[in-house]
Amino acid sequence: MTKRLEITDLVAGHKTRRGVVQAVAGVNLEIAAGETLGLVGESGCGKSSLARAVIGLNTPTSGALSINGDPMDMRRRGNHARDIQMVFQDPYGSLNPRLTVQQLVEEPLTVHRTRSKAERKTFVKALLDRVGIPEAMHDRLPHQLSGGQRQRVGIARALSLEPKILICDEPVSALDVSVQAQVLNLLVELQREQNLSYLFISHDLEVVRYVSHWIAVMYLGRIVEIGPVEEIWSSPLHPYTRALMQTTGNDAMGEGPEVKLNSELPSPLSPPSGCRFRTRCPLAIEKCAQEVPDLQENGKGHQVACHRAKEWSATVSAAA
Amino acid sequence: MMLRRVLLSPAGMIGLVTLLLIVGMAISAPYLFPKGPWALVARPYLWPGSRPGIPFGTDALGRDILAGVFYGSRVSLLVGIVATVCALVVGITVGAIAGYFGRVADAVLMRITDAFQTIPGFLFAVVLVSILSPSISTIIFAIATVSWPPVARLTRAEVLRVRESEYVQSCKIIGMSAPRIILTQVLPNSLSPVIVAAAVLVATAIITEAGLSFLGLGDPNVMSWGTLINIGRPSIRSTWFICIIPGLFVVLTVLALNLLGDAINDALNPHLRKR
Amino acid sequence: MQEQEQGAALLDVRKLSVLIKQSSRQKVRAVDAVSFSVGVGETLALVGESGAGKSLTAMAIMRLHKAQSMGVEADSIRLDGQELSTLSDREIRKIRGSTMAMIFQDPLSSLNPVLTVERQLVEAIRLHNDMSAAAARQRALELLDMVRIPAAKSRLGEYSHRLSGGMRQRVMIAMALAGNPKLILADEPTTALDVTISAQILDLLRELQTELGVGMLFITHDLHAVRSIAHRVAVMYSGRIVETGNVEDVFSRPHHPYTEGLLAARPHGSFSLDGHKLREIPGTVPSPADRPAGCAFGPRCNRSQPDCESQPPSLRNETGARTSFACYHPLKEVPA
Repeated sequence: MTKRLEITDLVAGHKTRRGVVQAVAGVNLEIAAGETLGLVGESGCGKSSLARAVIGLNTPTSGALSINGDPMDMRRRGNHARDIQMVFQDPYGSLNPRLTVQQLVEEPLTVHRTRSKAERKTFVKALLDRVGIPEAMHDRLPHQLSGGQRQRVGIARALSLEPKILICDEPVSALDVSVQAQVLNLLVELQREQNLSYLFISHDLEVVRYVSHWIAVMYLGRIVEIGPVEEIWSSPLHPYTRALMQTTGNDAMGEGPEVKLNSELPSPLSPPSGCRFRTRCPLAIEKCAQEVPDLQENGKGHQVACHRAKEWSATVSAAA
Repeated sequence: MMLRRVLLSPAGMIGLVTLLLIVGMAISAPYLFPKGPWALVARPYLWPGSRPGIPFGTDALGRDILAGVFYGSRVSLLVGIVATVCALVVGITVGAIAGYFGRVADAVLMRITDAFQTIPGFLFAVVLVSILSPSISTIIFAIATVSWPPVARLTRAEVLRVRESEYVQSCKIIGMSAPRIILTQVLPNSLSPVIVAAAVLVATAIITEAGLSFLGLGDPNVMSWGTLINIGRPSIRSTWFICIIPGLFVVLTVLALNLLGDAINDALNPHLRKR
Repeated sequence: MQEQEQGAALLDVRKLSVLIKQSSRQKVRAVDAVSFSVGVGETLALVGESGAGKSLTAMAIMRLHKAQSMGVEADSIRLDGQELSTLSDREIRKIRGSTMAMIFQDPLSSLNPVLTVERQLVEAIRLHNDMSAAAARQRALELLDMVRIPAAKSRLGEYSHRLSGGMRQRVMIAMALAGNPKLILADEPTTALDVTISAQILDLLRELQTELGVGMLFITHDLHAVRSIAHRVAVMYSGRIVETGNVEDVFSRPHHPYTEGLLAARPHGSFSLDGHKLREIPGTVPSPADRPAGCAFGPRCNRSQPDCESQPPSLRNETGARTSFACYHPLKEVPA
């Protein structure tokens, strides 16, 4: 079965004053139709760089992307605007302050000259209605809306070209808890209605668990663990994933090493040799400094990149 | 909408009314003084207020200073506005291209801008006008040439800021073309300070024109405020009013333009708009 | 653990209000008559969403609010037996940093970028202690050790912008400890940090508190942080405390519909597996200027009755309930 979105060996970096940072160091991911892949990691892990490379805001150094099996032309990303769209984190900065709600949602349609003017208006009205913006607000400017309403407008704008893939970059982390629930519910409802595929990026594990079918954990530019949501939640194998899980008070995870992190993220300019996590890993052995661990299948699509994961995989999975 | 907000602030109100009065002077000049500014009406060096009908007195040749001020406002405003429009067109284009595309375009265009900016503006204008021989069009050309670089710099700085905003990125993602992004997204959100600066540019242009005329580099065939000041210059110690009166009009216009610029600045800021 | 010590109130706040001047005539009550206390060796968490007034409350206690645009009213603010509300600005300044100290959300802007860690620490120490420069330097080193900064000696010469976010927050905590405070006000100290770093800072604060026996007012919007650090919690909504009690009780058996809604709004499951929708709280937090006349939560509440609109409910205790809540129609049972 061909996947909705396939990311193959993606490498992306950006120049800084102190050198080139390889923010995404060879990432393979795929998302099926109607499913969500949750991408978790801390700031500096490269999850936003990955999103920007996939959506075309940055040109990747190498690697390939394909939609429904068709390879994407990296230089003519405008052609893919109808396939893949993005919801931004900051509902304050992602809407042009001079355009009304109606104009903001209609803009993508005018750019692509889809539908007649009258059809566009009715379409936009229906779309705004669907995301929960009452008609009285269609002529308002962004600063006259609350954060949650703005994020709804951002979602409507992203959906106006009827894409099949949506990249959601921390779409609820700027919102209050009581409003987060509204936006998350809207996103999962829309997914069911339109069979959308999401790449859902967040640092909030519980939010990711709620919306995702698959979870990928990223550390310093690499995917260290990936698997179906219930697998990752109930039997996390990578020490980094386990450390993240502990911060949420996850009591479902199986018997395994307890990982407490004391140090901080090393500089992405000069990542550690071998396993990039080894400098913070209490379980690191000599091999970790010499060999880069590859993602190893552990059954049920659960893959982990850790030299020692085999040692505890039996007990972790047994408890689940 | 915006006009109302400008009028709501006292500074904007005063600036706009003053400016409208001066524009009114410019329009009404040929009707009030059908003989033109060069006609001899009384004896030379007549002091202001000494004869009814000639309230501002006469100059060295017995010409009516009031008529000169009225006709002069036409030339001063014309030079100020046309030169500023030219400077804005060049400056905004250069600044927007340099800021949005960056890299080579930015480096080349900004070095050119720097080159223009290093030469002292007024001196440069003097040189240009003397080479090209003084006339209204060469004066406008010279003033525009010396005043576009700051516009370019200002535009570039604003464009750099707006370019990085998420709403511009979202427009790239929806597949909008670069020229369209610049025209519909970047410029509307980066031009407020440029428009404010434009008001000041008009003022500077008026002063520059007066300065050029004062040095004898004005268009000899038209009466501007600068021409009047130039006429009064030889006798500035005795009959100083010939210089002071048009000078006051220059000051008044410049002040009005500055007040208006500030008011526009406030009105353009969407965050200050009432909810 | 320290039951007997927790009895004595270290900080006791009665009817504290913060008024924000909107225009020359209009004043808005951003914080509306809140009362609470923090015991010795106890952590009280003030939790709420943006605009709840939790930071303003801390600022008002520290008297760090903007005096031109804000006014503070209080029946009393007692710290360690001393009434703060009647003190002059000069006297408050003496107490600030010594008896009470504050930790901010953004350590980068609260540290001076052109001074080394050592200079700033030594300055803070000598401001509140009569100490020689050499002794102060020794004390600075001790403080850095105390906040578990590895290789503390080599960090003394660093500038704040060269430190990572977690390290900066540790330096901020060290500076707060410089005056040997009895009360620490921590305003969202982990919000700007990544989860693994934030967990480290929470561990550190908890350990320091038991070591030093200080009281702490911990301000956050993060329910996890509350659970991991606080003994008691006060839930704020639109400038008022709506429910307060022991963390265990408030989290497991909330009585106020807002507390219950807030807890239920956080995801705790997987939609893809069970299709279970999150409980929404409709609408948004009202700004203090548009706060409804009665219960501020009324318009968003699914239990509201006509009497909720008359006047705001005050905090009360009900027999059988383990928390205090400000609600006319509280939840009685544990929600399923």
